[in-house]
Amino acid sequence: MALSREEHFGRLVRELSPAIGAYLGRRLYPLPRGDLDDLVEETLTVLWRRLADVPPDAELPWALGVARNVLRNAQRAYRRRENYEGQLRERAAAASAEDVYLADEGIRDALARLSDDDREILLLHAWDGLNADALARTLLISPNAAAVRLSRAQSRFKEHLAEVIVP
Amino acid sequence: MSDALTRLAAADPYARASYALDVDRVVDRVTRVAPREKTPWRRFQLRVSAAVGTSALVTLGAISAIQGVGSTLPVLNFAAAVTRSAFTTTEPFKSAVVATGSNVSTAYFRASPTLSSAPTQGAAYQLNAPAIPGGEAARLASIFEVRGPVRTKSNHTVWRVRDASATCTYFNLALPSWRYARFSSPTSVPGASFRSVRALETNARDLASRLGYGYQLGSPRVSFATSSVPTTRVNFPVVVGGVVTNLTLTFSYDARGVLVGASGPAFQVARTYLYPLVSARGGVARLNAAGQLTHPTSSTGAAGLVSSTHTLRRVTLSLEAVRLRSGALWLVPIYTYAGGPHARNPSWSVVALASRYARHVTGVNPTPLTQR
Repeated sequence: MALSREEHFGRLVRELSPAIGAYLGRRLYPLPRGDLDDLVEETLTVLWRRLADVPPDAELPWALGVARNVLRNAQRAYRRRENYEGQLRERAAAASAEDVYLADEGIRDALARLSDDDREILLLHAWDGLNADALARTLLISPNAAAVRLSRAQSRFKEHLAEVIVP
Repeated sequence: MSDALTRLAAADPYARASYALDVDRVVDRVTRVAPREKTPWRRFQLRVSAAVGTSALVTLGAISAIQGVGSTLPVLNFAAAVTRSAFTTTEPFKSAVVATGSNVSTAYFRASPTLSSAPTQGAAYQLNAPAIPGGEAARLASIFEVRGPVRTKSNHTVWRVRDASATCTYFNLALPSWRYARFSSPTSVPGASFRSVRALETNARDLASRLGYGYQLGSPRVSFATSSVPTTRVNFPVVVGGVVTNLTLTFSYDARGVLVGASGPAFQVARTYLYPLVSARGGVARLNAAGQLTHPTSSTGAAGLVSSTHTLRRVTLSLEAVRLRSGALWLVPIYTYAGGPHARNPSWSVVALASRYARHVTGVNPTPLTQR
């Protein structure tokens, strides 16, 4: 028997919300849990509105693509606020999310040397577990392009890590 | 996979963390707003209604945020109390109605006429622990200027940053907490000559505000220890919503005013609910019920078992950290009673929530709360 729209959405929330929460949490730390919940719910709201568009064979990549847009909007809002506050007071340079919580200093430095695009595809693969096909769905590029970009990002990451290790 | 990529995968701060939400509640909330096609007319309507409704929503939102909706107040299933003295352990509640204090099971309590019989209201708080333990350790270390990599041990319950002179530790336990300890006191610290108690208090408050947990601090209690190393200890009771909790923030300074130790709880208030509470006299009845329930074979009630009778004259409302059976961390309102006017007089505590919102557990058998 086919699931109702609500049941379908409930299943997606159960299956995808841990990955969505982890994806957003990794990239916005330190973010109070209440704010993280809000962003996850915003992502799920888009999922609910566009439930018919969710591809059955790529639910997670599609949801992470939505989360990626929600994340960008949140970051834009954050930067606007920071810019405004920056006019009021001097502020120390803020570390990126990865900088703050990465315990492995070598990894942290190597990641910091990557471009934003390289870091994004590398971490989507290494931390969020997306393969080339899923990366393609999330980043809205072809699977071939995703594989090439990932491979290049991995090579550059290894080079940077080697430079960090050998003084 | 190459060593570099293996290290990268291992550096994932969420590898052992898990994000979970209340699925049913989120599904209910999201699906209640049915998708509607946004025509230009509809968008205009939305803009107008948004403009008209904004001020009302701000007010209503603030009220509903603290009050919740009466019918949707969560029912709390208690699992264990976090001990008053240590952040690192938990102990099960001793009785079915969560009464603590000396000799609850062998005492009979009488309410003084000065205690109110009117039900009242009080806030309970759902708390959030830091989402990423390793990240929290790193954040705390940066505040206390301890530099080094984050290391974890004890099955990922302890996350520590250590350098040559100090450690900063985050404990991912029943009650999340942190601790700073300086084990190598510098031989000379610029500006660290004798500091007045008031200066130490100011320094401690400044550090506390930088922790960013959002709870308030009560009036500090300052004590002096001269055992091995003379230290001045500044203790702040943690206050949430204007009510004192059973949690404390502690800062210790050596004789030159150098911070040598600090500790406290690590949480953010996620949601606030305004609950109906039993009256102060109702709480006394609950204490007597606790004595009865710890002796379930008795057919005569608490009076048949008592070795002493206490008339309770004073009651204070506070908040106590508890873990629910769901694993959620809460601060719940607690009545603490005393018979005499002195601090050294024995005291007894019970959860103050109205019965219909509290479920308590004795051992493995959930026992519904019964109020006499």
